[in-house]
Amino acid sequence: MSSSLPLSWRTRRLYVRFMLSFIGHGLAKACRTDNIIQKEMAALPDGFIFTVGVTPTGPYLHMRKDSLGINLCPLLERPDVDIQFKHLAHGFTTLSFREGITDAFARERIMVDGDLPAAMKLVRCFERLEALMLPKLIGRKIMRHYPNISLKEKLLGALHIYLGVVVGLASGGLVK
Amino acid sequence: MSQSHYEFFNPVKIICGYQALEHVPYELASRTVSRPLLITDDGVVQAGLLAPVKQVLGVARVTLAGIYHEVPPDSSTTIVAAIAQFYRDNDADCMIAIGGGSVIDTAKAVNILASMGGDNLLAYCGSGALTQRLRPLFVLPTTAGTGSEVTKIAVIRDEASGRKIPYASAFLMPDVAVLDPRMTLTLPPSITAATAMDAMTHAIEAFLGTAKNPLSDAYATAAIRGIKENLGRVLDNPDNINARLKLAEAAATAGIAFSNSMVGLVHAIGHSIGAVSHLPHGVCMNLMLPYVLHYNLPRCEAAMAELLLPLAGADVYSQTLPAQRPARAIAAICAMRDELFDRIGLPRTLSESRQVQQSELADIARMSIDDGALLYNRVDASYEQVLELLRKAW
Repeated sequence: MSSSLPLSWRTRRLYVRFMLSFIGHGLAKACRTDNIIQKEMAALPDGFIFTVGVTPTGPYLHMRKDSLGINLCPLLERPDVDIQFKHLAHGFTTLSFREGITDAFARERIMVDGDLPAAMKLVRCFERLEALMLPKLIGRKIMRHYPNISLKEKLLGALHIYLGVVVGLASGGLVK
Repeated sequence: MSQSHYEFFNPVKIICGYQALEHVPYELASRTVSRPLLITDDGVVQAGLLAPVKQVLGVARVTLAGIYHEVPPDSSTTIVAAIAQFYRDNDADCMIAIGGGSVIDTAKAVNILASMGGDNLLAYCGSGALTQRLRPLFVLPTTAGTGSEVTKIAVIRDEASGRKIPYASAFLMPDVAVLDPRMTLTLPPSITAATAMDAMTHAIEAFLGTAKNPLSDAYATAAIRGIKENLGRVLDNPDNINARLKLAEAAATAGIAFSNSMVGLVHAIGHSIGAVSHLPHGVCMNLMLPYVLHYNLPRCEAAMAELLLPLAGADVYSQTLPAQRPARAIAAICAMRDELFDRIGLPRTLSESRQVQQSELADIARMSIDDGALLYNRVDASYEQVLELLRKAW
């Protein structure tokens, strides 16, 4: 990260790094604990790689699916799906939940390359993560359809995800 | 502060009207190209539509690099690679596509390989893979519906996986689209109606979707009015050159609208019905449109009310109470479909199409929720909701 950037932008970049790491570790955990995300991921082939990041200088989250689940990985080959925010400001707006994922697509904040049907599955996983993690008030504001989840399902789901994130951050740190 | 934001881009030069074809040699010369490759299909050749183009070019002493006339309705990566090789072997320096959606999409894809080199089209799929201008591409549409002559998208089937892969880039937009009434004059009534309803769906979904914007709205409403006013006139008298031209204009206008604000659930389901049951795209659009409009209605009431004006005219609009306008707009679409069914048998339900099996509905629903168009629909849809819509449309 360039130290010549103003402090406000360095802070936003750090926040985006944190949130991409959060999504990565949260998704890795939810892939083992949440039925809906499990089902979406099961439809993707082993060896499937996707990237979510900010063009052109990052940060980037790279994840790879194998028989055990989905995990953060270094980017060694071309991803099957590449989802990129056009600017750090757009990544910050979406990842701070002021704009929904589908709004970000509609407003052309995001570019997607690669396997579009697989990208649709990922979008549904991200929205499921949002539905579990976020208070209903915020979720309803940024999602086209807020799912009907019981309080117990939401709390248990969120607990699993937050635990996964804490363990993941402690062992793997933040994405670059 | 509002988060509102949109982008609008339409660099295609549209040459439209009487003797529009005769402008092609000048447009070639003004781009300093002189050896076009004509890309078309057998249907166009049999309809005699190649002859006026060859004549126009011959009079202006333009030498053809070659003619490829075997583009199938469902073009593939292998065909694109073969045409690109044909382009190189014949020292062509530009392309003229003459045909409907498949021919135009094929020509766009050929242009990728002809300009970038190689024969691996898949390397350029997605939305950001192309980073430079391609060879000049001139498009002469022979149907009034796909709007592909003004869009940045091409869809080509991957021969290896069998999947339809979208290629999206501003660089794929043709340089020139020529709308000459002679090119759509021989289109049979059933295809005229189905392709017009495809264009109608482009305009309506562009107007209702999450990426709508003031500029695409203007194009969308103009397109709806144009289709509504001229489709009946063309069916009454297929030789009506003015109405044919207005319909072609409206289809291109709808193309500009949806190229800038995308399409939605009707297309997501329609693409899947096409892939699973091989029903023509325009028929799928005509069939699913009112069912999806009802589904979207709770989240689109204001926009749907506005649609009544281009769909039914100022008198009906002003005489209808604001609260009743959305339902009246959907009723106007349904009345249009009923008329098309009575006149030429254009199916209104999946069972009327006689080409879709009930056992295929689950596969269609599964595929529909993975279609990118769903992202731009105002209301999200799950597998169960799409399946329910398909059952209603049965």
